[in-house]
Amino acid sequence: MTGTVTEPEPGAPPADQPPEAVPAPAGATLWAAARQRVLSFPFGLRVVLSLAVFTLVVLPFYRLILGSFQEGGPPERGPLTLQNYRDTFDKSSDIIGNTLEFAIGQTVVPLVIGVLLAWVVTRTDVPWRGVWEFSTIGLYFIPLLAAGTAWSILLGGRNGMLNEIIRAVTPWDGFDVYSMPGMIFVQSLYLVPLVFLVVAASMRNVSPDYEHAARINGASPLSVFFKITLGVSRPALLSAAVLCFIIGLGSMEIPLLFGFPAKEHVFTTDIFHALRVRMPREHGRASATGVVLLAASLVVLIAYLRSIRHSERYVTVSGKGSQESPTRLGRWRWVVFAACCGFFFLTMVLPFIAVVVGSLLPYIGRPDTELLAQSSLENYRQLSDNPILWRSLKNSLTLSLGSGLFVMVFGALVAYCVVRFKGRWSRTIDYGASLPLMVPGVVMATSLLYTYITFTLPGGFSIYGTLWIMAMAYVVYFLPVAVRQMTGPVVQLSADLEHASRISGAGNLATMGRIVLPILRPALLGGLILAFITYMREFTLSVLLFRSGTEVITTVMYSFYNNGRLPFVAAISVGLWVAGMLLMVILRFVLKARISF
Amino acid sequence: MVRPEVTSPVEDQLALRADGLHKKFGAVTALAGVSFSIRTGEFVTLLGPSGCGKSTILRILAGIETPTRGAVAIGGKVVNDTERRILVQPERRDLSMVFQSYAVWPHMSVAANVAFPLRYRKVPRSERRGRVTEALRAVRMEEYVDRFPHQLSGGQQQRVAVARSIVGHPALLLLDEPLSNLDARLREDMRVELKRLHLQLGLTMLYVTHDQSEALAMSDRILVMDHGLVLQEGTPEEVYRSPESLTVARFLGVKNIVAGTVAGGSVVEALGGSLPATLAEPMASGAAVAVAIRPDGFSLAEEGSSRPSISGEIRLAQFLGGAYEHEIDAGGTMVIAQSPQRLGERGDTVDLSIDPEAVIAFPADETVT
Repeated sequence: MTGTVTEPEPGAPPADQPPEAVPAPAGATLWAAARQRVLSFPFGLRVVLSLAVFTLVVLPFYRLILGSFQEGGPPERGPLTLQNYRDTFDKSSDIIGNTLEFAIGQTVVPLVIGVLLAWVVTRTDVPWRGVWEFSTIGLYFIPLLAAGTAWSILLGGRNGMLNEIIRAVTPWDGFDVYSMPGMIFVQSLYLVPLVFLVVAASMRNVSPDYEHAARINGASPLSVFFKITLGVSRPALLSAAVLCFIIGLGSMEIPLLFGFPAKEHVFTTDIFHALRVRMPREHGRASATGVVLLAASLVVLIAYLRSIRHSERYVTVSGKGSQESPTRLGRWRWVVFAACCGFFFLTMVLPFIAVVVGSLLPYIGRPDTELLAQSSLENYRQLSDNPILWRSLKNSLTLSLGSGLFVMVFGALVAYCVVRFKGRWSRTIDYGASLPLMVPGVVMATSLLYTYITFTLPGGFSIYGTLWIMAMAYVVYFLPVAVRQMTGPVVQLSADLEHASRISGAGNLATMGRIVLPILRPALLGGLILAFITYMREFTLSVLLFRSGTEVITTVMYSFYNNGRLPFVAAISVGLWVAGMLLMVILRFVLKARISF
Repeated sequence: MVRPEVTSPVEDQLALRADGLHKKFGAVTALAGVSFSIRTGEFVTLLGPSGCGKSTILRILAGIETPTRGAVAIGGKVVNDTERRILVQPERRDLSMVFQSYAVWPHMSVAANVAFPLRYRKVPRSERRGRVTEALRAVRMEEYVDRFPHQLSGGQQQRVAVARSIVGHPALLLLDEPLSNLDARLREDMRVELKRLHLQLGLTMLYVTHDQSEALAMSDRILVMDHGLVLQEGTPEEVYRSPESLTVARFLGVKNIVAGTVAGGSVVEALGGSLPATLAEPMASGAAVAVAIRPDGFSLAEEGSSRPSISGEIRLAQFLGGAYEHEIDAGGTMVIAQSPQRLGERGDTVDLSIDPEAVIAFPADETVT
């Protein structure tokens, strides 16, 4: 096939006629033109991507929303009703308050800490700025479940080790992390890296000259910070806040770990109980709750979009990457340095010590000589004999690698479409692929569950209860980040490189496979590591979708936790913690990738 | 193909035929009907300012861009015809292209870059190595075979790009301003090199540039373009010596364009004297003209010479190495004169004679363009 389209039917025009005299039959020409268009690569690629986005994103949300209005909820297709919503709101007046309190709290606290850290690292002369940047980003590589375990060992109720120590040496009772303030505290510490990444990237782009100009015109350092530095970074602050808020609405780890013993229920734990604990399952209520969460994040999203309507106002002339810091802290330098050390100790050192110690003990309690004398590697030995743990580890690795590879290539192709085939269609695909960023994880999992619970492929193969449905959820979850990660590298890819390949004789697919994707390989690899980490620490989607046989490492940790085997969870946490730090080091120092969202 | 393409013996000699190429980008017309052909083994240059549509032509021929209207045949085979809805994809056209940006693939070694087209031209694996070496030798890069592009200078990358484009023995080689990213010395070297390759390998080349010296030095034939149209077509000597319009004269480096009037016959009044000239078209005595005078037409008037001369004051004299360039105030009009010898010192008033061949008069309304 030469790509030549007009191949007249045999015998129709005599061959000896000059070509100009051959009028092509109108129908055939139209058909040929249509066929050419459909078979063309730009068209075909966009059809495939549109279908993928439709099955993974659009269809699930449609099923969830529709099902929430049907009697019995999805996947039943009962008559239309509002009963599900009545159930949700009747029984959950305190849940609404708790959810908002948690989501707002864990937005405000990391925002304050993250902004201050970003400012310290990008804008001041505090010593060891590289260390603070590295260790802050490193927090993202620690599974929230492992961090939660650590704080549970330290401050979990009366038996928390730190609480025991505090009670022994001070008149105070300590701080119970099984409470709303405790939930917000721990969740906030580990959302700081997200805020930090978004805000630091923006602050770095601001020329120090803006700040110099303000100082020269009489502003004090403090008002420079508030009026200029924060002012110019306002869009970044807002988007970090929205990101945190939506994570707060949809994440499961901390509410399940701490909120359950504290009897502080939020929407995510409510969905978990409706779907995985209570009998009979309450699908109507779960779906209606999901839609309520979806609506809440939509409201936030719309408010956000309205507030950044004039964001071109904030387009800044980027500095020439000058190394000098605009703000000299003077005598405050060492105070800020001490604060950074304190944050590092609180988020990295102390919790890590806690999980290491916890993993060696037979139970968690007052850390006196009697208990410490019993420390041994017994927990590790028992775990290494546990077949479910090994199975879950294999599942986790398979899922993380497989979904990671798929999502990065998927994201690269979406980015490629947006950059190369400009236009409304490509933009629509991009919007669809970016949608999950604004959807709480728990809603995503429920939507996929309801869409594919009854879905069977020919041959009776059902993806429900298999690793496939989890892989789908993982892909949807990371897709927006993958697209963002790949857009920059694709923009930098000169179209001439592809043209040269086509002219050399390679077709569209060969050009994709031999030129485009290989050139993007470093970016794909960096993204893959980030996806891998995100998937290894993922809990919210997995805990709703796993079945016996498809456990992942985090769901196994949760079931140990639930059965009161905290030392086991600590031992697994140590492993994940070390692996996360190793990956972080590889990403930063071997691949020299810049980590960003 | 069910129906063989009908070609006449003349057409068999043609490496390329472009018929009535039109291209619109939205409301902007990039090509307003361009037709030309290239004989096998010929070196043809598209010369024109940036935005004149010359690169668009190249991209249409390569199949990267589709024309709004028009037809293209390469080696007698129709690859594009909007009337008959024929569109052959780039990979099915027997041509290659050298890009301004080199477009050497960064993730492949020099050898892999050059071998790439061979894979798709069904060259057996056993022959590929030899062909790659041969192509690299032609551009004097054989010792760099295992390097990667980031280890090469811009000029060396350019040579790799050229090697890649000749390795498959294409019926037609397109070059899109290949020298414009090189520094002055490399550009000279590469220009000679490309011409040598053309002669040595008998390649058919279509070259795009905005640099008239490149076009004049390398081409068998030049097509001067502007605003999406071919203004003039001819050998380098023809377009240089007899530009058919003021625009063409300007592209070919004529910096002196002065106002004058026809004094009868083929003499024009300009620069305060009477100059024998070539009239671009017959014009009546007294008609206003724009006179283009090539800088190399000036020389010092010999005593008692019959050639009419003008006189002027030298304002500036610069030594360019091979020649001197002077700015001369001739009766209030500045002209630029080039000559192998210094015409005089700054401030001198000199009598100059002008070669009639170097003076071409166009109807004055053309100055508008």
